[in-house]
Amino acid sequence: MINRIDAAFKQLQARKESGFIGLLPASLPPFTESLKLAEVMIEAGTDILMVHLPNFIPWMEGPVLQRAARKPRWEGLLREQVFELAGILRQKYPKLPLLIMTLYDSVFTMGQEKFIQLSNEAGIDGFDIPNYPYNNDELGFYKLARENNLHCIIPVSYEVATAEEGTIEYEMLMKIVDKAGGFLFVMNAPGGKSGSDDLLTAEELKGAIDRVRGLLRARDNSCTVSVVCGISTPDDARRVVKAGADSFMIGSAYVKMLQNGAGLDEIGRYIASIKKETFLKG
Amino acid sequence: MVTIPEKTLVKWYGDNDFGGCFIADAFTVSCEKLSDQYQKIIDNEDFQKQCDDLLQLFGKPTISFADYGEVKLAFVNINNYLVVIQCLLAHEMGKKKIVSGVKYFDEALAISHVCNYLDMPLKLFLCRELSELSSLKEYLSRSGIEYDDELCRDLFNLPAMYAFQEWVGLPQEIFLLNMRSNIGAYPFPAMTSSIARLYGDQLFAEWTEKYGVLPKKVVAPCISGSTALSIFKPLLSEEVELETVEIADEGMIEERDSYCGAFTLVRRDRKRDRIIAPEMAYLWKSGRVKRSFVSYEEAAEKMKELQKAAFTLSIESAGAVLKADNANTLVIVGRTRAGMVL
Repeated sequence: MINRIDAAFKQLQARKESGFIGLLPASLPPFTESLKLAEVMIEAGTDILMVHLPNFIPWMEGPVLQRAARKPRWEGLLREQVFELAGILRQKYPKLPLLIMTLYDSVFTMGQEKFIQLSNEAGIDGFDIPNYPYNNDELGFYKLARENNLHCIIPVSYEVATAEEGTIEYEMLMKIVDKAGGFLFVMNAPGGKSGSDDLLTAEELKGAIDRVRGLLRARDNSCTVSVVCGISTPDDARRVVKAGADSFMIGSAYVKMLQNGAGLDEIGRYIASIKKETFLKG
Repeated sequence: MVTIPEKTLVKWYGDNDFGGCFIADAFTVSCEKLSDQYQKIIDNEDFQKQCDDLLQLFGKPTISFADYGEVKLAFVNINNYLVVIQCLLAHEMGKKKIVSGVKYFDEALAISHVCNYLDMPLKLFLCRELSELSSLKEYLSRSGIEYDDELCRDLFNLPAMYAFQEWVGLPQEIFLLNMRSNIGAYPFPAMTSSIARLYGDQLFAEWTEKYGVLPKKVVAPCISGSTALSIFKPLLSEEVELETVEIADEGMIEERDSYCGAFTLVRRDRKRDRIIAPEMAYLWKSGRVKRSFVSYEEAAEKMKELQKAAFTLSIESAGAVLKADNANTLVIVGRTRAGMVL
């Protein structure tokens, strides 16, 4: 059965459109806030939804997503409940690609088999788990995910994306190219920190995207190339699409708006303005 | 000459139990490079001589022994080996900046002094308590030291985490200086604990000179387990009982989780985390080190009793003294330090 992520990118490519990946923060059961936000995001044009399973110590996140992780923790959200939320979304949106975004820390603590089982039950299509060592699949998580037709979204830094042949970084890049599926992330900021202001130039970004795509195609891998970190305005989105990204992800920008008291209508208008920029691809 | 006995850095403690390197693939190359550079440099005699010279200048850690009834107390303080050797490593590796997350006043000062001596730019991430100390911040500003006093105040009170994030952003130019071995993916915990153990080596060299034979038992207070680890490591293959003592933190659950890329034990409630050094978590699991808890009230009572004997110890150290149940026991203790939450 074709993974929904792959199906979505086929349709986007046919429409010559870049995809917008949106991050959905998790609220407490009955998940009213999250479900309302999801509805607004999808109506505004979100193509792929990432449900955030917040880590107790969000050590890879920038300040906005750290704040977003703190609230559900203080309120007592359990990791398993995020899968319940995903299950409800799956019922409501049967064709929408759904991923879980978290750190491998949560997978390890819950147990890999349980994590995969809950993902299957909720109808998840893949994971954004940036800190798992996919290159050597040390603990077998990648293999387990692929056996269940679940994509693992692998991040690539600029240094690795543009590494010279013969270097350790290039070896790492080729392992990533062979393992990537669905889409992979080119990090638009050093360290991959969400909400970062320190970004690649347009030239650097295009160079990284072109390089990675070229290597994927040379290996007969149809995985697409997405961009993450530091995208917050329609101008940023346009820049990323012009650089050749098949999709891009935003999380911090509108989560910050929500933290500052923005209403759902405003979030909807914001996402629509971002999505408008994706039509420029082609 | 200062020589670090552990030449090879351990990635996993136990059978994939604790440790590891769980940061994005894009950054594991930086971790491997750091590990290779570290292992080459520490073996170099010139480097070892530089460490000696700088330790002469800034002072090795001090140790003093005292009697408390039948029990011996060993007073330890800031581990200068960690400050000096890591600053020199950064210098030798050609790094452009050092970053560090600090929890205590004396750490902030010590790292600043050595960095200024070496003309090495430094950025300190101050814990919440230090972020309130205007005297420290004024001193750092006057010394030209960059610091962050907002992140721990506004978000998570984990200064080392923010320092680690800064390192991940530019590992080719930045050196992450850790004062505890509970931080970071491989090779950080192993690097930190292998340098920190020099304090333990020094302590038992001085002990043996003074008392002849090793104690039968050594007890140490434990928050992250880093200091206890530094003292215990020289004794792991000796016939000496080792025990850590923690203040029981009511309402906290314990999980295996990761902190900045290494798996370990974390004690947490909804708002707080206490992260154990992965190597110590393994030593508990293997049974080589006994793990004990005492209540806050018991430790506080002991602390007052010790004060009457003119010993001003931290509450954790007082808790450790409670477990010194016979003669031939050495208890590792520390005094209260500025920035310490009582």
